[in-house]
Amino acid sequence: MKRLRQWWQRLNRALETGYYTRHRRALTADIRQRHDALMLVVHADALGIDNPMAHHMLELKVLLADDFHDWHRRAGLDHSVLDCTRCC
Amino acid sequence: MNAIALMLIGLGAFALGYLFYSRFIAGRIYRLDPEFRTPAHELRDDIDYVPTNRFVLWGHHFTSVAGAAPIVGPAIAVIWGWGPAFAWVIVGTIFIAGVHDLGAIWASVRHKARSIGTLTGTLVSERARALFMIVIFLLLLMVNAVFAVVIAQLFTRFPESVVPAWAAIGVALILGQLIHRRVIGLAWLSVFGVIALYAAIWLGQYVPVTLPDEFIGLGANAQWIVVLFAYAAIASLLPVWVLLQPRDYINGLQLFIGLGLIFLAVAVANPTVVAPLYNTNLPDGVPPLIPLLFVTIACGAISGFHGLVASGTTSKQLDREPDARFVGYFGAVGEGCLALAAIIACTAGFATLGEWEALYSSFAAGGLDAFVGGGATIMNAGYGLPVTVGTTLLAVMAVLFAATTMDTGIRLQRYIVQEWGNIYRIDWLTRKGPATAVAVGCCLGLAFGAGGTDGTGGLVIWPLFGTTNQLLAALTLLVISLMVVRLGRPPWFTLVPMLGLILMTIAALLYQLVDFYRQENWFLAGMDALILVAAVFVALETGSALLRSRRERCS
Repeated sequence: MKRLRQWWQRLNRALETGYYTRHRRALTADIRQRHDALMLVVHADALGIDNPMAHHMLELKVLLADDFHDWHRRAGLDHSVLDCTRCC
Repeated sequence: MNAIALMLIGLGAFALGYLFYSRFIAGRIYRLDPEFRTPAHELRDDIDYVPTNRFVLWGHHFTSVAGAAPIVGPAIAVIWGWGPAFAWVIVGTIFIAGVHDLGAIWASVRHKARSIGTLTGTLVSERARALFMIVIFLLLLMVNAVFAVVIAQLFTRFPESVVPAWAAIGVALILGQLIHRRVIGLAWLSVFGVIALYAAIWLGQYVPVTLPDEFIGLGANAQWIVVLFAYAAIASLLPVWVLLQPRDYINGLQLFIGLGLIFLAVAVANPTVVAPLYNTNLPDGVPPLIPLLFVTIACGAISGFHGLVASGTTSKQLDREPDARFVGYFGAVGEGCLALAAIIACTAGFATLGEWEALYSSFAAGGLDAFVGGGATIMNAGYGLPVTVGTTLLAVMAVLFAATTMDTGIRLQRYIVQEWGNIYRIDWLTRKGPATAVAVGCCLGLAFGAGGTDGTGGLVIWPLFGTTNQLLAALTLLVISLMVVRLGRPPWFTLVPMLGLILMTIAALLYQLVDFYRQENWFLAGMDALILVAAVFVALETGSALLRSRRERCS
């Protein structure tokens, strides 16, 4: 029984790998786009965009600090132009 | 001739091809190296470049390349008799398709997993690269038009398939949501999805759907074509995970189940092949076997589209270089098996030769009807599956393959149109909606222009689609041959198939050009002339590239 369950789990994993393999790029691009939009909202005030929610975004800034570097690189900036978050 | 013998000879030949010929090509010509660091490791980013288990990768490669085309081509081509179609599928798969698919992966892997289009620019010339892009655009244009016509015909001939085919979209939408939200594991979901789909197929026989014979001047076929393009346009605008991804997955499952069902039925029922080995009683208007056979069966014998998949996504996920043999060559063998199943269904699924001849009354008249009807008869004889359910099952299988290709095709064309918008700074063309409208408009124009509305005329463009596909294959084989020549290895194993393909393509295009001219079908004559110009340029590029590389080696 235990072996059967393990085999089923393995099958599950193999099928999932197969399921995501083909469209991985499109899916990642989709996730990234949404994530970039979130980053923009979080850092809106630093970019000079009025954000009435800015106060509530402070907490998120800490949580998303690790992603900041990737974000500004993707935006085409080798170095961050914002001085709000410590980066490269 | 009984069908079991045909099946065993075919499968046996594929097995020998894989065991011996592919080993020779992989070991002596491409010299796949287990120590070579593949791009999946070297450039690993967990997005495009991911080392993947070879069985999973084979599943991805095979399900990406196999679809309705390896069924439609052989189903039309058996009109010349089962012998030529069978021989071309076997020889093509073993000596051309396998070598081409494996070679495309190898060439790409040795160049940081770049696509064949990019490699054409690097290894042949920038002109050849532009040519490559034009051929791809034509291929996409035609594939969408052809498949819309194919589905419309299936819907009008087999009204029982309408409800299950649309129900499959519902199943895919639900499956997509459940997987996305990780409600239960994919194995259980697959079981439930397949049960739901087959329940819909069973129900289909009780609720046949037919469209009115005429509505605002459009016949039933034309109405379906409009509906299908409307669907494809909407589907291509949805995020991938919502519909395309679960649909692709269900199709993959369907592919294995369908193949298994047909081969099992043949093994149990052992029907007799009623069609002649070589048809001497050809109906009027059937074009000559040489060169048309070689462009009528593209997928299933050799298809350039495989090179796009092989060098697009497969090469970026190859764990070890020797895996390319299993993934590429065996992927081509898988597609050959599908073509073989189609040949058997279209030639052995009939009671008498008279019945077969009545269906194959003109070129492209048999086609998918023969596959669906013949396959259902064999399944009925094999394990008693009611014929109506069998026809619905196979019709739905073909519809799903074709519809997913349309969805992907429109999506890819939209990207191309958006790219043009960027290049030429036409702002509105860069937006999703207008770009999709332009893509759909072109395909719709072609489907209607090629006579797809009257029910039979649409498949006239099938061989034209085949020629574009073969041209793409020839360009890929050129890239591989140049690599082989530069490495100082014998190039004949890729060069001879390539020259054969170019020759047959040009001959087929010339024949069809004269034919369209005689019929005063200026639209298709224009298309033909366009592809012919591309084919001549491919031939010229090939000649000059080979001479150049020979000169380089001599100096």
